[in-house]
Amino acid sequence: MIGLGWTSETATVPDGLRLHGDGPIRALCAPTAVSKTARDRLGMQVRSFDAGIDLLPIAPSHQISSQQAISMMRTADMAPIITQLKTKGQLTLSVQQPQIATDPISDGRSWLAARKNRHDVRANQADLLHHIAALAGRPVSPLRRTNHCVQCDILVERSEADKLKDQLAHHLHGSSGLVEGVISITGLWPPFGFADLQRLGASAA
Amino acid sequence: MIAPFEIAAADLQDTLTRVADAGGRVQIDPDRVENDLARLVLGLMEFLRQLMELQAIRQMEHGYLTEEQEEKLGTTLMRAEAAIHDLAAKFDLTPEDLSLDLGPLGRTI
Repeated sequence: MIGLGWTSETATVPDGLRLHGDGPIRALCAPTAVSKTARDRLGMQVRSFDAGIDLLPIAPSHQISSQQAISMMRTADMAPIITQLKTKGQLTLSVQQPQIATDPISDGRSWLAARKNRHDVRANQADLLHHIAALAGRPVSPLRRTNHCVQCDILVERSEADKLKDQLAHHLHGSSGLVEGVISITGLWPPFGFADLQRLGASAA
Repeated sequence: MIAPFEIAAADLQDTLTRVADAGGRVQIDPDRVENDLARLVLGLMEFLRQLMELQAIRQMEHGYLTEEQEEKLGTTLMRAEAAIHDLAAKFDLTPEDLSLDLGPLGRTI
């Protein structure tokens, strides 16, 4: 079986999933046959979360066995972070940069100018995300970047997520002309951005 | 039986890049030492190249560079990036693979 995360819940889990362990914290696991890809694992984590199970999630891109998940549960002090994340999920703010095909640059000055422009655009996007996230008045994860996207997560109580999402969406709509790229807010997700496996001692697994 | 679950592609990409991923840490696997070392060395080279790029941009912004110096610096950095990416490709590494996780310090790129 494959580990999906850890929980202090003892409630019934969705069909096909199992809780391993008999202590206050248990590992939520799924059969290997149906959790081979990151997409499979993400789907089951979201389904569990939507079913009301508070989860300290393992990143879907990181496949660890149920034995490893149980081992980590026994060696790492997960209780504080599970308590901290209980009844919470995350909203994710993103600025997606459109992928535009451009002519290759062959001279050094133009290349440097293009890089300066890219840095300026990214700094502008980061400033906007920081500003919007600050409006939420909730814990915010550090910014993450991929080639065409910058994101951050906001930790929020499940019960107030819809209201906050609407408020932030309103601010995002009003800010859409201030930066290059498409701004969006998604969620509610399991609190992936606040589950620091390395801090919990992932290497012990 | 587990029911199928549909997620929009953009949402999936959002979520798969969570910081909770421990897979990005520097790890050397005995079965693929060459690739892992290449990733480490090329990642550090790309990190240093990006620092130099930032420094060049800063100098350009402040007007410290002549046109000739901008051309020379830009060409050097551009070719260095292409060379690093070419070398990475020989080890089946993408530019994104060169981002190294330095733990509490964050990622290099």
